[in-house]
Amino acid sequence: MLFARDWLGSYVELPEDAAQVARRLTFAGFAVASIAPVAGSDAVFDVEVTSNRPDCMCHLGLARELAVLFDRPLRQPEVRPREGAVPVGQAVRVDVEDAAGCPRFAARVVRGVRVGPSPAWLRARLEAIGLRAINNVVDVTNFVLWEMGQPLHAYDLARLAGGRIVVRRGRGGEALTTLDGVERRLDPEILVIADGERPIGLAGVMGGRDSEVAESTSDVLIEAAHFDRRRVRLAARRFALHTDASHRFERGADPEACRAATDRAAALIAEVAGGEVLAGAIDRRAAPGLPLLRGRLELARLNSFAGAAVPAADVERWLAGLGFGISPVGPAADADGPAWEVTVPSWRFYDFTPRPGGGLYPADFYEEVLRIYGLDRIAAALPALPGSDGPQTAAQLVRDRVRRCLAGAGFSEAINFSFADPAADAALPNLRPGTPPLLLANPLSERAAALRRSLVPNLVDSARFNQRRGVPAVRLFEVATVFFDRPGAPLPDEPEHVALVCGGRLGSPWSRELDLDLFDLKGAVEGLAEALGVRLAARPATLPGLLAGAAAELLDLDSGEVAGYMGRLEAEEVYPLFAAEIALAALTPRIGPGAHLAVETPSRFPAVSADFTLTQPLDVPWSEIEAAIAAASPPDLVSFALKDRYRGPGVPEGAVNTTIAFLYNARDRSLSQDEVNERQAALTQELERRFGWKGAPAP
Amino acid sequence: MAGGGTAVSSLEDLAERFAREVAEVAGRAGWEKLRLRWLGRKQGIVRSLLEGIKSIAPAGRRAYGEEVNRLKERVETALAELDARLAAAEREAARRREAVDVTLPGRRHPPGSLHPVTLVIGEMERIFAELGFSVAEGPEVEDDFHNFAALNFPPDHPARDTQDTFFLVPTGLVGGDGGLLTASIGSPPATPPGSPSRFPEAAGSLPGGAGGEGDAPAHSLTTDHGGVRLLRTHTSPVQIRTMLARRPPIRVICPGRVYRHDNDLRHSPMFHQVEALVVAEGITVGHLKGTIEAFCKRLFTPRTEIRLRPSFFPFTEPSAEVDVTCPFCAGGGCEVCSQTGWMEILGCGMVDPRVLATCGIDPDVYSGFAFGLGIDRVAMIRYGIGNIRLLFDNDLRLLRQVRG
Repeated sequence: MLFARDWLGSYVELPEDAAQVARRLTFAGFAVASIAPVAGSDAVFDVEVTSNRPDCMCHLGLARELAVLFDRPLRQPEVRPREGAVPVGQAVRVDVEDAAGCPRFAARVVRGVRVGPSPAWLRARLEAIGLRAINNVVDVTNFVLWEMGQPLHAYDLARLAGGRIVVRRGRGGEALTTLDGVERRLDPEILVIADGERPIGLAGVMGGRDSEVAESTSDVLIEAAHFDRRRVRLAARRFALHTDASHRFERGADPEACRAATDRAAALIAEVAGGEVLAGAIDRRAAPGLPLLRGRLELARLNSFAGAAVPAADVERWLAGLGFGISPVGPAADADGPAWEVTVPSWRFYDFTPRPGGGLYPADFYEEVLRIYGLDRIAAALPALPGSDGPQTAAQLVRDRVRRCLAGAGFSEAINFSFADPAADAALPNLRPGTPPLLLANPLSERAAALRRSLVPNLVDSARFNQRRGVPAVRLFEVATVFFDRPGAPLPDEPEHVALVCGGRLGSPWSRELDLDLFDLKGAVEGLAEALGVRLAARPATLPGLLAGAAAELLDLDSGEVAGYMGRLEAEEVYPLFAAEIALAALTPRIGPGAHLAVETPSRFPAVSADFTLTQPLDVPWSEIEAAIAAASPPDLVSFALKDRYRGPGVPEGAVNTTIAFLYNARDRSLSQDEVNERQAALTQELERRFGWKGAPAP
Repeated sequence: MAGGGTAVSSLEDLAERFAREVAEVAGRAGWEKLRLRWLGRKQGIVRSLLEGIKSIAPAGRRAYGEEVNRLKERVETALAELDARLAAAEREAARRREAVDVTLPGRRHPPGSLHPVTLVIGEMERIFAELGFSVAEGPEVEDDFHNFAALNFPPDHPARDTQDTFFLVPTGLVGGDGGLLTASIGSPPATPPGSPSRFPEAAGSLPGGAGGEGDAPAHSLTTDHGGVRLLRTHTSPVQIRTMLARRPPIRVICPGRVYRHDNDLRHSPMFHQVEALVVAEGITVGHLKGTIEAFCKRLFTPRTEIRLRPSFFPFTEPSAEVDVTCPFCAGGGCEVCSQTGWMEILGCGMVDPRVLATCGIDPDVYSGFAFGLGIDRVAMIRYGIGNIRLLFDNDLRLLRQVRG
């Protein structure tokens, strides 16, 4: 919002240095974004006026702040017009039918004006703050708005049917062409200004084209009203019309400024456009008016709240300068220092919300005093609170560990938006099949219209992004919440998941190439589970979007529940991708304080290893062989692991050679080779018997 | 055999012959052959010369013996020298054979990486943990009460602007697995409430700031918005949930994802915030400043300074924007900070007494402060990432460079 320094200077004497003015404003709550020189030597400030300070969206309002900030007197402008003999009531009749929507309506009439260009001083004022001069009457209304903050409208009195103004609700079927030339359809939600026949303006937003002041206008009616904030906001939003007037009304204009604004405008119109100001003003006021807001302020409490020592005299001078009523009252029994009763000026009414039971919170006044005092003058200190507020939660611990584990395993962390393409979301698995997706009422696009139930689709998109840019191998993971509707509950369930995607060729002949496949993915999943002390097992499953025969559910062996899934993606681009997703809840309870973390001391005696190759039908799953070995569990067998899988020359079609490495180690002695051979023979015979290749099945 | 003189002269011939043969030796095998021929225990020339002393006349034996010994010494010395030369050549050959170019790249397991945002959140959590804060979390889908009403955003007020808030389709309008009554797409729920505060500055600033003022005199904090669900526009609802669930003293930070209906070069519809909240007896504006200062000095550099500019947020009073010494130029002025030496990164304030009262905390007894900032912005500063959208492309060529 633009403010001209010389305009401000007509109400308060300002320092020569514009930068000094800007600095003081900035540190009192009015951030000056820039100081631009305009024609001549003077400056225009671009000031950010926060939405709670509509009173400072005009030069007089900001000058009031400056007067306090620089401790100078504020010079109010002369607002009384010279009036003619004819009373205003003879020229126009005003009826406020909707007093709730329009608690105050003031108007004056100036007869016999000559509409034409404004004098240079007026044009200069408006142009300095980026407004276009239109004609002397309209320019005056704009000038008064930017001087006093009260939105005004000027009507061509001759064009008001019946010489009447009616403030009422719009009617179905009515329409109004506003000043911008757009026809607006009205209804009872919209507050309008009408004449004897039809609407002539959107109350608080914009006037109508038919009654606007033109070259031919001779008699002018000036309106300065106070409209209900919500009604103005509703109309402004309905018609997407944001105007200087609606901006102020929505934020709360000064309910008491109407009359002074009409006086000021009438006097100025008579000055720059000639004509005679009719005697008196129309002033319709809904009873009762707005209440006077008041509260108690105690110096000692103010200073202990701030951690500062603001002198009493400053508090009194500043608040009085800002227009607050401030009168000493007896201090509370336990208080040292003065106390005051403070009342709020009408132009700040909407900035102060009474506390339940009436009155204002003292903090409302602390804010006023401290922004003038300067927050930078308050000494920094740390609160004297003992110890810590509390430990990390299990969820925080797990999330942290999952991330570090996967980054250590070569995966890079991705962050995607929580939005999902509903089609893509439905085309891949989620951990609660059948739960409908949550949809956004106002999505950015159809492709981001749902909240994701799975992290995989977006992560696959990220992988594709990299594939298309020629990244030869992709390993990505993401930890985030997914969203499931909970019928009957006010808010959705938001469990936290981890998802992984990998694919492509790692390395080079120099650094040992690796074509990433499902088992690299599974290795990362197993590493994660192991790091968190969880036992997961893969169970073949048919899952949407994953290649049949290369997809599995991940079972939590302790709870028996499905904790996640993994598989190869059906859709392929550049190179195959493999994806997995696990609910962090399944990884949560087994780490942290109390977890079983004890390790086993290795034997002091040497171990004996033995390899065994089993030729087995392809359709015997490793998990069965693994289970059989675990069940047999020969004495002193400390570990076994898959060493190799081989299909090719020497292995019958339909079979595979599975080589398993066994390791025997006794805790109390060295095992002899014979002992090991004997145990190994019994075990391998059993494996041969149960799983060995018996020739191709008969067709 | 002839007399000693003849024998000695033939020794001289032998010496000459040895010298020739030594000169011809090329490798270890030749050396070994030469050694055997001259020093072999059974048929070596020197051996047979020594044995030949018996056929020498006794008078010439002494001279003969001396000559043979001299020859033997010469042969031994020459062979030893040759051996050393050969051994050196062999070592050199071996060195050449096994030598590698140590400047070749090492073989690595390609490392993974944590996201810049994760790293910055982690760092902030560590800093706040040192200052005694715990981490509080809450849902990302919120209701109007926690996201707006309890934070002193009156209903139907400019502080709320539906353009900035994502709303969910009310339950019951969605059927089947993804089936949506098409009529409801794109149209906000019946009573569109609320919109974001602009508390943390990283979200960008709108002219006129965030603002909302009290809704005098009818003040309604518990307005029922008909079960409206929205994506939280800030992490402040976690503060509300914390204050509703616990009694002071409270010292928490609330990091997390937040959402605004904004999508352009400078704004992302999802981003990350951290907010801090302290509520206890006797909390002052000075404590607010001290805590922010301690945090910023740890997050940036110990020389970082802060300054507070009064501003407006519905849920704090007084409120302020916080500038920190520009981390790029250490306050000297640069392009990034428009030559001001300062960078605006935080919003803060003393918790509005209405917010405390709504959460059942007596504002006449307790006071508190809150502040918030955008995590993405700090990550961008730290990692020199010029555009927030780059943070969410998940481009491995960028991510793999990220170090903690």
